[in-house]
Amino acid sequence: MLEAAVGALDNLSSCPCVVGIFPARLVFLFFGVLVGLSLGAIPGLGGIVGLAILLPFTFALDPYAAFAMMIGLISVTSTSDTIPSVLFGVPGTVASQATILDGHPMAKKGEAGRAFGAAYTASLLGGLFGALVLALSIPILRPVVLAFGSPEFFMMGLLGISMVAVLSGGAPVKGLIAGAAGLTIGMIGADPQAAFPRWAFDALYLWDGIPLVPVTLGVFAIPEIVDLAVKGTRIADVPQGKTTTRGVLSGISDGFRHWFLVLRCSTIGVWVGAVPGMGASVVDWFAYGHAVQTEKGASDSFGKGDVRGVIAPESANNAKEGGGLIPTIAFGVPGSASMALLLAAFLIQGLVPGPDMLTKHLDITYTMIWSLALANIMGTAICLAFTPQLAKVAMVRIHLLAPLVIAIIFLAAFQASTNFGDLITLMSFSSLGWLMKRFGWPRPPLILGLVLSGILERYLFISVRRYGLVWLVDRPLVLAIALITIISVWYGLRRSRHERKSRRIEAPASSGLKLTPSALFTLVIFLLFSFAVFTASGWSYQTRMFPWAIGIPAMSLSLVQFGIEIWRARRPTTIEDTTGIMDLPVDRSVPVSLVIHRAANMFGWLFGLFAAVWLVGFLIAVPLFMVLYLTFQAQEKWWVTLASTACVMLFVLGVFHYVIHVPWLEGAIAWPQEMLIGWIGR
Amino acid sequence: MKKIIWLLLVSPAAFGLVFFAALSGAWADDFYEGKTIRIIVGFPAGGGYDTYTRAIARHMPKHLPGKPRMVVENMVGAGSLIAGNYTYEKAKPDGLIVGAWNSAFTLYQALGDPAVKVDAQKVGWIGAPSKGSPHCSIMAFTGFETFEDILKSPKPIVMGANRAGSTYHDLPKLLNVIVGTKFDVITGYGGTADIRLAMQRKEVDGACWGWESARVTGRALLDAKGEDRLIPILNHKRWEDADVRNVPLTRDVIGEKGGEAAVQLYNAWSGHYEFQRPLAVPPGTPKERLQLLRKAFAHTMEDSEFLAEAKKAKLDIVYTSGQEIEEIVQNILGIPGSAKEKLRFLIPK
Repeated sequence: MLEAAVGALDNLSSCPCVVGIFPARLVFLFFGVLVGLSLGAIPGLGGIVGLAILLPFTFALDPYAAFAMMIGLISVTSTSDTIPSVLFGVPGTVASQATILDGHPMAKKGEAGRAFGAAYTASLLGGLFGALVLALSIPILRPVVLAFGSPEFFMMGLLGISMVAVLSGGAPVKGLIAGAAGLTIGMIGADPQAAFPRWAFDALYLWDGIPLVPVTLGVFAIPEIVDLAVKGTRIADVPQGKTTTRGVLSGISDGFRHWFLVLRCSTIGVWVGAVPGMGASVVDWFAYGHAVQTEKGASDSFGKGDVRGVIAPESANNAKEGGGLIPTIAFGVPGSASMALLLAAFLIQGLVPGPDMLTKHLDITYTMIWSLALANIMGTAICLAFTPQLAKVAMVRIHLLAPLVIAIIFLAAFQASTNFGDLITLMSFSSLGWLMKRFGWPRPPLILGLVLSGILERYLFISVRRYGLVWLVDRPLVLAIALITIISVWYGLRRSRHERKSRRIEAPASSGLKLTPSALFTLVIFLLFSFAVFTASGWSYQTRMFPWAIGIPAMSLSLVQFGIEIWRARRPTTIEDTTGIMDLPVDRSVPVSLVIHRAANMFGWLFGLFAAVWLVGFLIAVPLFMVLYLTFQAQEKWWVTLASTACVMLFVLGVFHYVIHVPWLEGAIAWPQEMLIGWIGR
Repeated sequence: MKKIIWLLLVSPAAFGLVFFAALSGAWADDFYEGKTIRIIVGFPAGGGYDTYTRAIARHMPKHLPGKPRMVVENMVGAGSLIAGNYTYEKAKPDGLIVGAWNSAFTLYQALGDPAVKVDAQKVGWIGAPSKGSPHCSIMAFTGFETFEDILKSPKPIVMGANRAGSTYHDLPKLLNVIVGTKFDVITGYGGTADIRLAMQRKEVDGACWGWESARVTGRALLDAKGEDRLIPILNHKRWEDADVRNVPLTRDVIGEKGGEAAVQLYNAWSGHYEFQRPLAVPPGTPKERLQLLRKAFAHTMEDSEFLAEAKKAKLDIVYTSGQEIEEIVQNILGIPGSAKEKLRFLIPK
């Protein structure tokens, strides 16, 4: 076996088809890495789009080169997706949602360079660890994957959802409600049993459920941009003390210093990656939740720019590709959408995934593992080389940056299903996210609930239908995962209670009114849950059961929360500063009246762009928005305005129009965009 | 003499003129020159529909006069219903927009599903690159080997499925209704790969899905030994593959057990498998442009480069022409009322 592994490295570096010793396959690997890095750094695009476009080119390649290119692409999207996550609080791919919780505050503290250094180091170590685990587990791949059945998947989902407890920090009730809201939002659309469209209101868009990307962008990214604009300075609110290069170096040393955390989170990454159906969007939350549960002082410093909060998700999301290859190679069962495309490449190359890959084609399997490792090294090196320049973006005036980031967020959200519904989702959830942030509701449980909703419901139903209730007691793995869940919740809660010091701050003196805006918000949430439960009463048992199981307790919880809030409002005393925990901090330096004024202004711009897209379509609305914003809001010089608008449009046309062929929405007034497309071609 | 010279001079000129006119008449169809045809695929990039369509889009342009560009755009949602309804209702019928959506919508239209806006009779069908062959397989660990064994089984047989409205779900349920099998269909699995894994860990006993897909993606299981072997027990069509050469045809089994009415029911259900992953233009597209597209599609299906690529990607190509699709559509939409009643449970709702 060792021989095969070494021989595989040889396969990768020498290619008999090219005269001389030119390592052609390494060039393909490098090309894949470049494409993967670009796609990871652009929010809304991920490895899947790149693979679908590159797939036809693999027809002409030999298997080693084809897999080197594809694996190069897959393995590094979660290295570069850190860039927008740290700089703007905009997750680059779904695998780096949790990275923004500490990465973005670090950028605000002037530590963007350190965040990048730590993230890339963690990505590299995680990626290498994933490759190592994959290599070592080859002899036991099959029994391990087969040991996980639907009951075990369900328990894994439950383990994930238990992290709501620690991710809510000091606001357990709000956290539970937010988690339940996420689960409920995840139930929108055709149910996994009868395919009855739940809460779809005759909108076909909702049949497949609300897509994750516009929700995350709405809940996290837009509120961040709005709040930055409210403050009106720049992302980093302190001048960078250290030079960025030194920041990067200290970040790298952070990565190595927390090697044990890296190791634990990489293990989580490999496992979650190896379980088919869990997917990229879950893995970063698992790792982040685990770090909060186990790291010293986490409940105090996480969410405020703790480097460990960056290291945990970043090591896990690179490790997951190694894990994802396990079921793909051993069974031809793709662990993720990108693995499904890799599977297509397998077939093109005439390879049948399955036992043969572990015996007859072992050299190809090892070539893939080497590619995975080398790609991670290349990706990290390239990212590190650009970091000093990238970190300086945090020092750019926010009003110059805001329209650019907003335009990218809109485009990214639209990639989810290229439907106008994506933009409606984005706008609804950005309002919700901003209010949650302001009123001290932890947002991570909402996303966690959303990503786990389908897994929990699916596998619970399958388990009960197939095994009755016996699976709860007669499957050792189920019991083991249950035990891990109980221990981690207990340990995490005990630790945070132990460490939670007096974290009370002076609340702004209340007027004594019973119904504060915050209480009103809670009331609205209660009404939404009531609506959900009420409408579900007309559905068949299997469609209704899960919505009720989550909705009814959530109704009572939100009623309790409402009671707490009107009770507190009557006694103007101290409130718990729950907002800083496990979520991006709220800046309270700007007076509330000014905040409302500026936020309303910013949301005005956002809804303006939204309306403009509806009216005239993307290709006209985006440049129009950029020019207007930069001229009137940012009051930039005309040439700065034109130059940045032109850059954004070149990017939009180059990537989204000419390469990906996005079906642009036709505006209510269609001709200007049609004319433009007629002029620039497709 | 002069006259003859004149005649000699004029007649070739006239002939040339007529010839030129005829040629330019043919060239009046260079509408597509410099244009871009957009194919709206209702499924995500990288899936089966998308793979077929992208392969076609790479080769079809060279068979169209003017060699236009062809790009694939993914408009996902509601099992391609969004793309179908968009192409039917909103897309401009100028021959530059082509839609690719699930042919099963024709069945749902016949059954009166209000969500389907597409009227399959008014659509301009270009052609389809493949046919489906819904089949059922069972794992060897169950101890069963044939469909007869299954009919005799005293206990229910657990079949894996993703959701209502798919072959996984519909075929076993239909067999329960028509021939009285005792399939217990468990829905909720993620898809083909997920179900295959569930079969290997003995969570489900078998499943029903397209043989054209199973023969490729399920190859490792079909070739396995002992308990892990996947055994096909029913197939829609006769295939030359050794695994299914002697497997009974679903239609025959149904005819034996349920008679002519049952066969009619099965035919109504399975009609849309005769044209899988079809391409179509919106109603009102100029006839001559549809003709050009049909011709180019037919040529693509015989194009050796296309076929080589399809073979490499394990895409099974069986061409169905636009005219043939029109006939099939007529048959599906003409299902008798009684059959519609019996099939209505298939509408996912």
